[in-house]
Amino acid sequence: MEWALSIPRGQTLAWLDEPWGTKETDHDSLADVREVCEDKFGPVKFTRIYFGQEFCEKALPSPKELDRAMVLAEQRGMKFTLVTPYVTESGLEVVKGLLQRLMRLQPRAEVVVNDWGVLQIIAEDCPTLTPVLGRLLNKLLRDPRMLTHCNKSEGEELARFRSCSLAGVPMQVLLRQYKVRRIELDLSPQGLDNHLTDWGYESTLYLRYGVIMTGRICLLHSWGVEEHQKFKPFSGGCDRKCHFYWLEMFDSSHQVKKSKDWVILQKGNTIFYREEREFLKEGLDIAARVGISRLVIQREPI
Amino acid sequence: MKILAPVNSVHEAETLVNLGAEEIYCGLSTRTWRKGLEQELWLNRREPGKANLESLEELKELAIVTQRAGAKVFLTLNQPGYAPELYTDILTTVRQAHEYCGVDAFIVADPGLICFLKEALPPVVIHVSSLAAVLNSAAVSFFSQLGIRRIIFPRYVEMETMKSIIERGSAHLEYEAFVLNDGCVFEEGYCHVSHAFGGAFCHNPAWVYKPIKIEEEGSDDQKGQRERLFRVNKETFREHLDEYRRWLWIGIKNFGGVPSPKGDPLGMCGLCALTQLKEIGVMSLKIVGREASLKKKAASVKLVKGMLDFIEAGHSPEEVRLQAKSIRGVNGLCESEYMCYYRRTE
Repeated sequence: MEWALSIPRGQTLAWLDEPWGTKETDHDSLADVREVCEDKFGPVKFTRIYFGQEFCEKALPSPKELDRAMVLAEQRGMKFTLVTPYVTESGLEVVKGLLQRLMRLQPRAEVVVNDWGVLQIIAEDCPTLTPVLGRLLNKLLRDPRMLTHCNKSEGEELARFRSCSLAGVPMQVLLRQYKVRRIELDLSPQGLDNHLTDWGYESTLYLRYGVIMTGRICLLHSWGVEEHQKFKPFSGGCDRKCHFYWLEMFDSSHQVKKSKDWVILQKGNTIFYREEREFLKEGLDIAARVGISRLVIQREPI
Repeated sequence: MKILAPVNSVHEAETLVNLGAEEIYCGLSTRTWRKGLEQELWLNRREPGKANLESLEELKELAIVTQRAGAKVFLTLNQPGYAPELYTDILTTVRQAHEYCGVDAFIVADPGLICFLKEALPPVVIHVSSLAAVLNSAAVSFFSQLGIRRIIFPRYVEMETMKSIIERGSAHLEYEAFVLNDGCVFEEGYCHVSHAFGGAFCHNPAWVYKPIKIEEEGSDDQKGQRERLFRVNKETFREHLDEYRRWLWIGIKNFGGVPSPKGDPLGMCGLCALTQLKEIGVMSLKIVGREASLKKKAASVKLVKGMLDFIEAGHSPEEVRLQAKSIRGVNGLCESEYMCYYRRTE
C-alpha cells in the first residue's frame, strides 16, 4: 500500500511533521484513523505528498507555495502530486501557470484532475505530466440516505451503485487516450465494487472525508458580506473563512438520518461526510480486498 | 435566440410551440425501463411520473407535432454518469428515439456514454448537459473532440466567462444558457446524491448547522475567538443562516410555487441579461422544470417570448433590463438579485 498525505494548502505544510495531528481533542486529529490504518496495514510511512485541493479555485496555491511544497517533498524523499479543483476560465489560467511550472521542475509529476478541461490542458500543453482522474470525475453516488431511505437498497441491489461509467470500455478507451492510468475514489456508503481491478486502472482511496456535493456558491464566504454579494459565485479574492470554520450538519427532519458511520459537515463550498471508526475499519478491509493501491490521508479536505 | 421549453406530454409540446418555443426537451421513462431497473435508477435526473413521457409512441407523436410546427425535440439522458451495463439499453432507447421517433438531439453529460453513442450511431446529435459542468474553454475543447454539437452552460456562469469560452470555442458549436425557473445550491455536475433517495439533499430547510471554530495556532485570546465564532462583520451566524434560508426560498424553492402579483412564476431568472446573452453568442435559452404545471411552463414561454420581441424591436440593453424588471413586477426581489442567474459582477 502506498500512503499519501494530503496538504490542502501552503499554510498546512507543517503537517508533514505531524501528519496525524497532535492532540486527541483537536478537531482534525487523526489518532483513530491512524490506529485503524496501522491495525490493518502495520506502521504507516508516507511516501507521497498530495498538495492542493479539489473544491475551490480560490484556494489554488501560489507558485511560491508550489515551489515550497516540492522542495519539502524532495527533502523528505517523498513523491509529489499536485491536486487541482474544477475551474472557471479565470481558475484555468492559474492552473495552466502551475502546470507549466510543475512540468519544468518535475516533468513526470502527477496531477489529480477534477475538471475535464484540466485533463485537456495536460494532454495538449503538459504531456510529460501524469494525469490522475480525481474523485469528483467519478460519478459514483455518495448519498448517505441510500442505506436509510424508505426504499433503501440492500444486498445485491447495492452492487448496482458500486459501478460507474469508468468501468466501461468507452471510458477506458477515452481515458487511455488521455494517458490516465489511475482513478480516485471515496469510501462510499454502498461500498466499493468487488471487481474494481477489472476496471483497468490503479485506484486511490481518500480517508477520512468523503464528498457529498460541492459548488461555486460558498455558504461561508457569504457570511458577513452585503446582500448583493451573498450566495453567488464571486470574482476577486476570498477571506478564507473555510480555513477557520467547520459546520456540523444535522437534519432535524430525519430525512438524512444520524449514523454511527459518519458525521455530515460543510466546509466552505463543499459538504463532506467524515468517516467514523467502524466504517473506516470496514472500509479498509474492503479496500484491501478490491485492490486499492494508494490511500490518501486527509486531516482537512480544504 | 431560441426558446427551449420543457414538456411532459404531446399537448404541452403543441401548446408551448404555439406560444413561441422553437425547441423543446423532454425525458422518457418507459415501463420496461422502470420494471427492469427498479425505481432508484432513473434514465435522467427527474423521477418517473409527471416529469417524463411514458412511451416511445408518445415521444413519436410529440416529435411529429413539434416538428410539423418547425420546432425541434431533444431527449434528456442527463445523469452525470451511468453504470456501463446500462449503456446497451440506453443505446436501444436512443436508436428508437432517433430512428423511430425522429428526436433531433440528445442531452448527455457522461463522456463515456457520448463516446459509446457516437461510435454506434454517428449521425446522432449530442448536446452536452449542464451536468457535465463545462466551466471553461478547455472543457469545451474536451467535449468538442467527442463530436458534440452544443454546450449547455451550468447555472450561474458569469457573463464574462461565457463570453470568453464562446470566443475560444469552435465556430461550429452552439451554446445554451439558463433563462428561467429553478436554481441549484451546488454545482449539479458535482452533486453525488440522487433525488431518488428522498428528493433534494441540499435545500432541506430542516438542516441545522453548528459552526465549529478551528483554533488559530499560537492564539490565546479565548474571548476574541468566541466572539469571532458567531459574528463576521457584525453579522451573527444565526442571521446569516436566516438569510441563507431566505435565499433558498426565493432562488431555489421558487417561493413555494406562489406566483408574482402579475401571475407569472417566480424563481430564478435571466431576462434582464438577454441582450448580453445574445451579444456573446448564446443561441438557446433554457426554461427549467419538466415536472412543472403547463400553466407555469406557458407563462414562462410567454415571458421570454415577450422579452425577445422587445429586443427585436430594437430596444437598448438598459431598456431591456428595465422592461424585464417591469414585467416581472417584483422590484424588491430584482434588487436583491436572489432571483438572478446572472448577477452583477463586482
